[in-house]
Order: sequence, then C-alpha cells, then structure tokens
Amino acid sequence: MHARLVQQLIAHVKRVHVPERGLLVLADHESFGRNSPPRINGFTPDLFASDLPATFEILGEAKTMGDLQTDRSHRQIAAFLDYLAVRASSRFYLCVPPLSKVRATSILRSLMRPEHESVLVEVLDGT
Amino acid sequence: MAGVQQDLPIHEVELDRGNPRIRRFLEHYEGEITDDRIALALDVAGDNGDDSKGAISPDRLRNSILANRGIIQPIIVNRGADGRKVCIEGNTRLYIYRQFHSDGVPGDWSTIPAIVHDLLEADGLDAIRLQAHLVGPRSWDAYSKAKYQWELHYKHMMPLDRLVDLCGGDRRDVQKSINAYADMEEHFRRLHGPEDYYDTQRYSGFVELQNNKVKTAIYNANFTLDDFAGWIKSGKIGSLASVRQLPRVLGNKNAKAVFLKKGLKAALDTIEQPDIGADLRSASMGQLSLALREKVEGLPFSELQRLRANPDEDVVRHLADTFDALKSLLSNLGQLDDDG
Repeated sequence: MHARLVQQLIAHVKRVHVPERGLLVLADHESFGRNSPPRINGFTPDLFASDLPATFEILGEAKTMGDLQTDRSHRQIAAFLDYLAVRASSRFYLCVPPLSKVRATSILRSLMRPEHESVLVEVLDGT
Repeated sequence: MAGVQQDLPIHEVELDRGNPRIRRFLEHYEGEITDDRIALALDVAGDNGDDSKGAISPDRLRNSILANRGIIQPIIVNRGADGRKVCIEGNTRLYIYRQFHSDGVPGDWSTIPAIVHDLLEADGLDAIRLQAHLVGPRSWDAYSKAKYQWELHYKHMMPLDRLVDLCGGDRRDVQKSINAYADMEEHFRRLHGPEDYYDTQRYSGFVELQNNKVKTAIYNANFTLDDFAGWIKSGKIGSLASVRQLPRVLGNKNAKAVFLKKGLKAALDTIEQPDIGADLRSASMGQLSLALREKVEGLPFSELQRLRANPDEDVVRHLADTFDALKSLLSNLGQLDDDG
C-alpha cells in the first residue's frame, strides 16, 4: 500500500509542477535507485522535488492511516514543515489511502504551528 | 603514430591482458584468465569512487554511455602480425558495449568506434598507455564543472533529466553542484568589484552550504545567504570544511556572538575546549605526528564507515583542521607538491 501511495505522490507532483527546464525529483521508490531524498531534520521524506537552481522546494510523504496516527509520524511531519517554513515557495504533500483525506487533513492541521503558515500544504487522496 | 578510425565488431577486439590495471588484479589468480575474469578486474579496478583526477566509476561511465548512445572518444586498438586486435586503451568501455549487447539494451552496441594501429611495438603501446593513464586528460576543477552544468541547464535549456543522464545519473550530485554555483554567483559575486580577485576556490564553501542543516540554521538565526557569502569573503569562515559546524555555532548564543566578532574557529573553541591533558601538550610535534599516523593507519574499517556516515562528528572536523594546518606548514617548508 505504501509503495503505491508513493508512486501516486510522484505522479501527482510531476503532473502539477512542470518548470520550464525540468523538475528534479528524488524519491524513496525502487525506480529511483540511489536518487533518494536527503535526510531532513532527522527524517527522510518519501519525495523531494525542486527546480534548479532551486526557487521552490517540495516535500512529500505517503502514509497509511495507522501510521499517520503515530507519534513518530507527527514528529516527522513537524520536522518537514519546520524545514519548509524557512524556504520560499515551499509545499508539502501528504498522500493517504482513499476515504482518509478528511481525517488526514485534520491531523495535518493540528501539527501546523503559526510559523508554518507560509508552507502550502495539500492532502492527496490515494486510490 | 597514426591510426585509422573504424567501427569494429565488439567481439573482434580482445580485452588487454597486458594492461597494468587488469594485471594488478589478476597476477595472483591461478585459473584460466577469461574475458569475464578481466571484466571483473576492470569493475573492481575502476570503482574506487575517486573522480578527483578525472577517473570515473564504471557505473557512471555506463550511465553516461547509455545517455549519449555511445562513446565520444574511440578506444585504441593494436592489430598484431597475426591479425589479432587488442584493446590498448578503453577496455572498460569495450566491456560495457559487450554487456549492453548481450543484455539487449536498446541501441546498436555490436560495433565500437576505434582508432586502429598496426603492428605497434612495445614502445608505442607504452606511449599510448602512459599518455592515457599517467598524464591523462586534465580534469576540470569543481567550480568549472558546476559552471558548465549551470550554463547547459539554465542558459541553454538542457532538460534536467538529459543533463543528469549525461553526467552519470546521480541527480543529487547535479543538484548540489548547480545550486552551489548559483548561490555563489548570486551572493558572493556581488561582494566583488570589477578589479577584485574572485577566488573560485571558495566554491567548496558553497557546496557545504547545500547541506540542508546548514542552510536551515542560517535562516533560523535570521541571517541570509548574503551574510554567509560575507563570512566566506571576510575570512570569518576560514576552513571551508568547517561550514558544516555552523548549525552548532548559530544555535549557541555565546558562540554566535564570538563567531560574528572573531570567526568560526574561535566560536567553536568556546563550545568545546577538549581537555587534551598535560602529557599530550608536552609531546613534541614529531611524537604527535607519529602517534596520529599510527592511529590513522590502524583505523578499523568499521570506524571508517561510521565516520563516513557521520561527517558532522567532531573528530572529522578536528582531522580536517589538522589537515589544513599541516598542509599550510608543509607548503611553507617547501615539502608539498603543487597539486597537493
């Protein structure tokens, strides 16, 4: 399930973000081999994307609902939001299983602090 | 010593059993020396992860050949009196062509561009090997490589995927290189007037800046990349490897104040004053050098791997600082080669 959500996350980001010179995507997925995302504040996201030279940065995370409700996931998402909050035009995607979007959005909102206000967040409904 | 350029069928050319790089790995091998065994030696010999002198790992070479749909520089072949053709230069490339061909990789890998010489004497063979591997092409410095990648991508609109493929397939390498170059040009260049010397050696400081902990620490402390460039230019950050220590310094109120006044080294000293003890302090430079060498040479592989995975550790910084100090001392003593 997780691998499928990551695949959907990658497909969504590639479809929506199409900079003129191409999008750099690093993902924790077998098709990306060694091109995996960097560690960010102690956690590795499922996806990192940006243009080059970087004028925006995107982090993405795929979560099953069981996983999303753990403390570790909360710390992980907060760490990603902290990272993005100090970067211009940053965006965070959370990809969750079908029919979980409302609950996931509520969890994500509860993790956001005022300093995360500049980060655009979106929850994707996986299929 | 003129050769003729031809496309040769890959199985008509033999891998070179006399090549020193291959021989080094096979001299203790007692079985039959087959092409597969040579290929294994080529992979081991080539994959040392060090491209600082222009060498390239087989993996990156493979990706680059694939992206380019062939090789740019022909291999060099000698045709002997018996008609056998032996690859004098380009054994790894020949092997990669054979691999692609047998694996059915799309494209025509059945022939390979080659410069063919006839009846080269030992002398001529050695001249080619020496020029190819001991003198070799002069590798570009890191700043020039980054500048070229940036120009291809940003000015000439080469798509990112194409650029990454041609550079051997490592997206993070290309990302770090282009972002470091762009940061340096945007923030460091503006601190220089038309007559000022623009020190491109400072590029490695901007490579260290790409470590996300470093950038985040700068932003969190309410500084900008213009400030960072200023610290590099003014010498507040001396050793470029110590850039990765900025998060510790900027996160500590006292150390931050010392850093802004006196520089990074002084700031780090306020965070930690390692007690090296009276015995070590009274030891001579010779004794300390011998002891350090003994430690370095006896470093267990597991410890090496641990340090490699944790480049932020104090010991790595102390070693980098010691290396800088030794380099400077040896240079003053006239004991250092130009290329370090």
